[in-house]
Amino acid sequence: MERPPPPQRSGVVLPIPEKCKGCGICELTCSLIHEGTCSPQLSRIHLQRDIFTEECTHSLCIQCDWPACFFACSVGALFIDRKSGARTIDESQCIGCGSCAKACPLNKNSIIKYNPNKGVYFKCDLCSGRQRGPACVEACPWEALKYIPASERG
Amino acid sequence: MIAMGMNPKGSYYGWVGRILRVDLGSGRIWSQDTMPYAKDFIGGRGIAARIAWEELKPGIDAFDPENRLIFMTGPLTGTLAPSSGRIEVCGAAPQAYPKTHYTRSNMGGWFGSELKYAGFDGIVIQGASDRPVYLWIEDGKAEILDAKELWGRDTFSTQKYLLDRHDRNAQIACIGPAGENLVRYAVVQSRTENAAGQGGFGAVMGSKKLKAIAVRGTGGVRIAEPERFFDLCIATNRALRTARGRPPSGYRDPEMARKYGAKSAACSQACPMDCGIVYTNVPGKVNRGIQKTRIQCVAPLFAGAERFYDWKIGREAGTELSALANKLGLNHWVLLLGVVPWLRECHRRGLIKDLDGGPIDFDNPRFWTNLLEKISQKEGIGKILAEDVPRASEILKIGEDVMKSLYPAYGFPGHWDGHGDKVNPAFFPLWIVSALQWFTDTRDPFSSGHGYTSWLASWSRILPWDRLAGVGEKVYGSRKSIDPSYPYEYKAQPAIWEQNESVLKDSLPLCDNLFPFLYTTQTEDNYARVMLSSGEVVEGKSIGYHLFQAATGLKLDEAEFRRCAERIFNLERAIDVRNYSRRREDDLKIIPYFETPENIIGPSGRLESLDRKAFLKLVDEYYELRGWDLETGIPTKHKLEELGLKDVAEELHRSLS
Repeated sequence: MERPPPPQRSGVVLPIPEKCKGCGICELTCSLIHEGTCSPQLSRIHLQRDIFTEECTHSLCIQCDWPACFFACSVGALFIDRKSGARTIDESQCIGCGSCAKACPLNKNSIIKYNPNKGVYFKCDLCSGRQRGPACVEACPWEALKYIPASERG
Repeated sequence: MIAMGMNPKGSYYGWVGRILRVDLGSGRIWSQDTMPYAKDFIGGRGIAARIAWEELKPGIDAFDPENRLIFMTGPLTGTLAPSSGRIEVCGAAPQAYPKTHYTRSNMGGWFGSELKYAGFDGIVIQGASDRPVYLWIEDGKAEILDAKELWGRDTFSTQKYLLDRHDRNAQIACIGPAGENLVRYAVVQSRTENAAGQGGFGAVMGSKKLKAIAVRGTGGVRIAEPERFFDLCIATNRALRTARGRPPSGYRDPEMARKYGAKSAACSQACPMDCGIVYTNVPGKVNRGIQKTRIQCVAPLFAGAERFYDWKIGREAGTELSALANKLGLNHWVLLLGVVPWLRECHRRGLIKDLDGGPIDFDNPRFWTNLLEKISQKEGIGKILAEDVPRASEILKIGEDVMKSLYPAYGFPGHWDGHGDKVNPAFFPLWIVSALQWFTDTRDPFSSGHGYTSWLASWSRILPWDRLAGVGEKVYGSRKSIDPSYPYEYKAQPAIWEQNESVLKDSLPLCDNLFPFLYTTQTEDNYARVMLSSGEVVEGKSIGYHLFQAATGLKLDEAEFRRCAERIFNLERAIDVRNYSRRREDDLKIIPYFETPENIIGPSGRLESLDRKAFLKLVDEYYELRGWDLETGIPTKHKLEELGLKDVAEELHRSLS
């Protein structure tokens, strides 16, 4: 089967690990803004801290040019946000089948996660519709997260 | 052994709704509803005090199985509020002197937040196991598991074992050999440098044969007003970070970074600062191998300082010793400001000549590692030093006067008091307020009481007294509260305000290193204010209240909220009076300590010491403002009733008659 052509390009949030202090403000901001709850589990950005070295690894959606998640969704719950290009899940359409998560090439790092309370999958939507852009970028005290709009992506 | 299905999901904001109960004697596990305590006692220290009032009977020693070991978070724990990883640890404390008594300790990190994500606001542990066990908590379930494999291990290796065995995202509170062996200043340790240090609650865990609590949670903390809460948190973080001009840009010491892999890191969930320095590559001086540990608070003192603590250890060995103390589970503060200075002075005076036959040499790292090992294993003289200095000097019948110059009261070494604590630059008259914070406490008040003496010692280097006094008027009600020309006037008010603020910090909780947020270079009058994106301006002293309200949605006005702090402080006093016969004369025992000359000269231009007569006037004023009986120092029935503590008033006054 021939691959469909890629949709509109997306912006992306990029972590700058050497600036990160491991506070987790990004995770709690994300779940607070999206779910009204402070919960790393419900965050679209995931932080892994080593307890001895405090070394942090971040995982969050890289908003692929050719989004496997988008093409894998059979119910049309995934859409491309017109303004940012974010590959976004419409929760009202999602049936919780998990095809998007299975298709994601990076999903072992918790890029697309399941919300058991709502029975839907969720992923980074670059805070689509939020005037000041991605909330995690705004909240990070250390400028360790950077938003790159589609037009500036290399 | 498993308790199930505790949290009616999503019923509350701020609190998660259940307190886990564990009886290690019978192996029974159950849970109770948090909410009956929440509105009146907030969380952390407040809820713990209420549980202690109800369950901790007079005469219960710290090592009695009937002692309660209470881990309690607050409504802000685990949220986006600045430094929200904190948790309070309470119970009868082994370090407390002359007899063990109820008091508190707290720690940052990620253990408190993880507990809430697992569905519990707190854990109350009673009874004692007859064999080593640990507690494994995961999403509303708890299990008592065998800890044979863990007993004897240090805190780092214990955590590694549990992470490997259960979940690499788990958070752990555990004890080292010091806790197992009931050293009176054994800590409850989490990660490499978070610990509930003061009080010796690690030894309470040891007495219950509880090696560790490991917790993993995938839930969250619901917030009543998410947008406003986000706005408050982010604006507060920004204001805190720019209070002294430019925001901090992280640790910058290329030499340390290159040599020791040093970098700065947050020490607690959602904290916007980077107080901790993580060393990832320090060669061991005594034990071969690479040391990895976080260093903060008093830990750099292991290396030695210029005055008084002038042993010559150096940074590499200092880092190794700091990590070793954490691995063994020994309290840094007690070691460095109590045990070591006492031992050193006793040695100087020829009162102690050797350490079990070996030379006493504080410039030799090997002497230190030997000392720390001996204390944590209670080997040789370590057995006596493990009792902490007040008891050790009693047992050995030496150095009692040295002890009295280092330990103001309750079995706790000095802290921001201008006398025994020679690390921190507290000068007259700032330490008058410290003395008033100390004199009615049950421990060193400076785990959550830095707001006056410490803030002013540092801000008076940046801003003129006139400016600071202006802020004092807004916060404490009078310029005299801060103006150094009135050393014995209007001092009970700031002391009471800071004591109550300390209760709030320990109950919400908030970090003592950031709150109360009072001073800034960024406003015209130097009084801290936070401007929200909505245009609303929040006063620095009220940030905690607004965070509480936006998180919980409780409709409580600020005066009622502050009354919670007063209620909690009075309840703690009631425990102290009922269980330990605390009276005015006990409060006044602190006076001789402050009557000795202070450490450094302040604005008066000469070394000051406490004026007993003037201080006693402040004491009377303090009791009157508190609503406590002048003769006895006992909260009056009227006061307790006014605070909504009718049952406490009745039981307390019945116990007295």
